[in-house]
Amino acid sequence: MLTNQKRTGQTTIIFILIVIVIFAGMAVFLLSLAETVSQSEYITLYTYNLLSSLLKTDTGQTAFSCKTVSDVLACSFLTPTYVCGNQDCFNFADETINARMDQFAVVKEGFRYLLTVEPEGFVSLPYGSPYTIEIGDSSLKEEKIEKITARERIQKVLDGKPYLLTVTLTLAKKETA
Amino acid sequence: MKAQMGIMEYIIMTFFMVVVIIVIIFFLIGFQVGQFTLQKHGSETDRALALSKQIVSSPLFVKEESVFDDGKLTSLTTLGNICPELEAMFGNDWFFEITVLDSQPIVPCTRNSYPNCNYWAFCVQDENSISFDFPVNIHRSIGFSDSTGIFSRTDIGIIKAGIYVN
Repeated sequence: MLTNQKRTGQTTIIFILIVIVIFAGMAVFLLSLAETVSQSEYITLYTYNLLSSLLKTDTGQTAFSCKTVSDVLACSFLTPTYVCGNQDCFNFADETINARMDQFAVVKEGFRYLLTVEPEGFVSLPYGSPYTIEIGDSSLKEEKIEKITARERIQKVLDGKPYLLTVTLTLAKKETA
Repeated sequence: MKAQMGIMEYIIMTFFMVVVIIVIIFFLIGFQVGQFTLQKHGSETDRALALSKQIVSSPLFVKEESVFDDGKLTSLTTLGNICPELEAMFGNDWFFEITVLDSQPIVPCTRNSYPNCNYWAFCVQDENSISFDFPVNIHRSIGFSDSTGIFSRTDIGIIKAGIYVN
């Protein structure tokens, strides 16, 4: 009888310990879920604002096709031989965008970027094959990692015809060594 | 003897169960306190983010959403300490600062330095804060000039907006 009582007592203690472990596990699980959505919302807004601000920024040129970054990107598609400063539109866009993104890298470290520009509803064939622009880290396109993407449309009129371009900015965190 | 041992067993088991119950109570209290702290931090972060969104679209500062007007900003900074008036609109304990990313040394915008300046600050204090940085544009009314006249320019910059926390 004493042996049965001991077993009952031991079983009760083990049961209580199991309950404590379950509570602790639930607490840890719930705390891990309590991460706010603010950080995710912030980086999405940051990426969108970065793209939007970049496209509106003046390049320092006064010519109509070269005035803002969006003008230069459109020029790269529609009038690629046009000269901005002393470079063609694409090279000028590449230099200007990389310079601006480098300035942001000082403020917000640890991100890789890729800016792509694609025609919408038409095919640009300046060199005989479909043309898209990529500025930045091209390897981001194929990598299967967490990325944040923002998209904007540019509309330009050439010879009375409207042309639409889709500009996509992709950011991804740099992997620390 | 056996009976005494039986009673001792029950006493020890009861004592152990009481200890376990007290531990569970403390654990739950600690969990609740942790939850409250997390919620407080979360609501402060949400407030800082909401404030950032409000400022980049307020006609008091911007020409259009996320495009700040340097004339408006400089006019406000030259009024002196307008934090009390701004707090009536945006609430207490916040700040924001805008810097033009032009690779130049930082020059606060005042009546004397405008337009050769690149920094505006509102309600900035040396206190703990939660803040967010966003890229923005700054419309410079006096951007550049040539023989034909004075032209505006849109620069790129960054806004840091946040709230002060205890």
